[in-house]
Amino acid sequence: MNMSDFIVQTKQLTKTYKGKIAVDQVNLQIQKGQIYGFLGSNGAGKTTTIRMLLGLIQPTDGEVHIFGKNLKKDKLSILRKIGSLVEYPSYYGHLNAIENLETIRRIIDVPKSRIDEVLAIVQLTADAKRPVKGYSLGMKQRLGIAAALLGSPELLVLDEPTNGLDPSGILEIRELIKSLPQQYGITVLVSSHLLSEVEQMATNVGIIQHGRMLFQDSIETLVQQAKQHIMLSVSEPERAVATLNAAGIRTNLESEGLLHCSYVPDTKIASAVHLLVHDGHDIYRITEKRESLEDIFLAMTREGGF
Amino acid sequence: MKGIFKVLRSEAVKLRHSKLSSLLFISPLLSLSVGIMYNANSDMPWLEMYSMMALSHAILFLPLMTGIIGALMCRYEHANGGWKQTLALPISRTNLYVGKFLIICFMTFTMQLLFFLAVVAAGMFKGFASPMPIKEIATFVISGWIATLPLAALQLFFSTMWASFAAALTITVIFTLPNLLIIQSGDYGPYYPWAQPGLAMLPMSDSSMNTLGLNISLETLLFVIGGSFLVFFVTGLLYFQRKDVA
Repeated sequence: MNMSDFIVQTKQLTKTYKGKIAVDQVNLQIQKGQIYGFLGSNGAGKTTTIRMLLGLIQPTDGEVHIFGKNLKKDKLSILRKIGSLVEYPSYYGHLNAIENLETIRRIIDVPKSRIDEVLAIVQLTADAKRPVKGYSLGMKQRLGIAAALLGSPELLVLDEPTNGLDPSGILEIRELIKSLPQQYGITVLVSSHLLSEVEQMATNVGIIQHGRMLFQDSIETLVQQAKQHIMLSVSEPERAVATLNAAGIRTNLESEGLLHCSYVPDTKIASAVHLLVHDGHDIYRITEKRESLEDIFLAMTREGGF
Repeated sequence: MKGIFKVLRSEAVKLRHSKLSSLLFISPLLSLSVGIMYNANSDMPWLEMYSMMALSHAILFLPLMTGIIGALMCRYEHANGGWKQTLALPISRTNLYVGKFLIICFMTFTMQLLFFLAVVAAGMFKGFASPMPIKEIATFVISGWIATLPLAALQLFFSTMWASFAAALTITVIFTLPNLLIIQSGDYGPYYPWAQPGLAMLPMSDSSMNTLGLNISLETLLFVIGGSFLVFFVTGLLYFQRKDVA
């Protein structure tokens, strides 16, 4: 794939703090129109990576390319097309929402009407003239998203945007994020420590652990890694295991006399059942067990752990 | 240039509803009361009264207030994560830094203007017979302002470095208070940056030392004020350009 096809691409991006590695040779790749879920537990290196993408901190090593340009060389023209919300929202408490956005508008040079537009998008129009210090965390978060949208960005970088929000707030933000690529053609990088959240809005996912990228692909590919298991409960488990293994169907005997076969296509299950019935077994129950994304995630982060 | 202008316009919004501007009135108002209460009895009542008014203002309040304004300059950025929002905007750090410095300069200039008006008001209240030596007093006021520029540069450096307003303020107080002694010393006074506003605003006996129409000698202007300004400003700017925003 050509480099210019990526909206964001990092090459061996690394950051060390006093010899401690925070981000370790990360190759992040985001294509246009994706909602890229950047997943990792707290302290895994998400925020440090995002800060390097925005030029807030200098990488120790490696490169950042955004919109096909090198961040080091074209920082300002790249930042002009990015909207960001890093960790907790930034705001000037003594100013109201309109004035807060005005401090940004005067730097990025967009029409004044844009302030009303973004306030409407995040549904803050009614509270726009109150000092922001009186806002709830959810409202501050929405103001932060409004600020990120102000410059009509091509890339939106949201670090833990649902942190500290109540369930209805989380739902609102999630729906908003999901609508952005379709409605405005915005590419979104959204980080979270919650798998369920990434699963519900992202098209692609990058999993980071101890500063290293463990997985990076589409959500579908991640789901496909979910293994399928068939559990059989029969009258004579031990003899049944022998029968099935002899017929070439790999089976284990689990606790409580349950038979366990992994990765079995429908036809094999059919022949296994046929074989057991023919052999005079009573089959009490056949159940399918599918690994959840959570199981995959936990297995992955365990393997990647130290 | 355009970038600095954008920063100035943006900073102007941040200063709305801020109590920063009320700080600028403190010293001019105190000086006004000093001027009104002082009874001049020489044949140059304006300059005599001015000298009394300038004493506390130039030696104590002007350097102190310059520090406080500088310390407050980055308060809103430190308070609620403003740095990461501001520095992720398409504006260079140099423009941002210069813009903030210019705001401090504008504030201290406003304070000097208010002090000048306080002198005019006190003199008019007294009803001095002789006309006001406008040009001389204006020269003192502007010279004093120029002498605050290194202090403003140093304070901005500390303000970007420390989130704590108290830490930044402490530095100002620590350097300003010894002024009361150092300014009287012929050996150290001329080289001490915090003493320069005082020296520049108080009438000198030898007016032949004035340069460029200022109440500052050329050596002091170039080496003490200019030199310390350059060192403080460039150090602060280099630090700010490399600063990691956590």
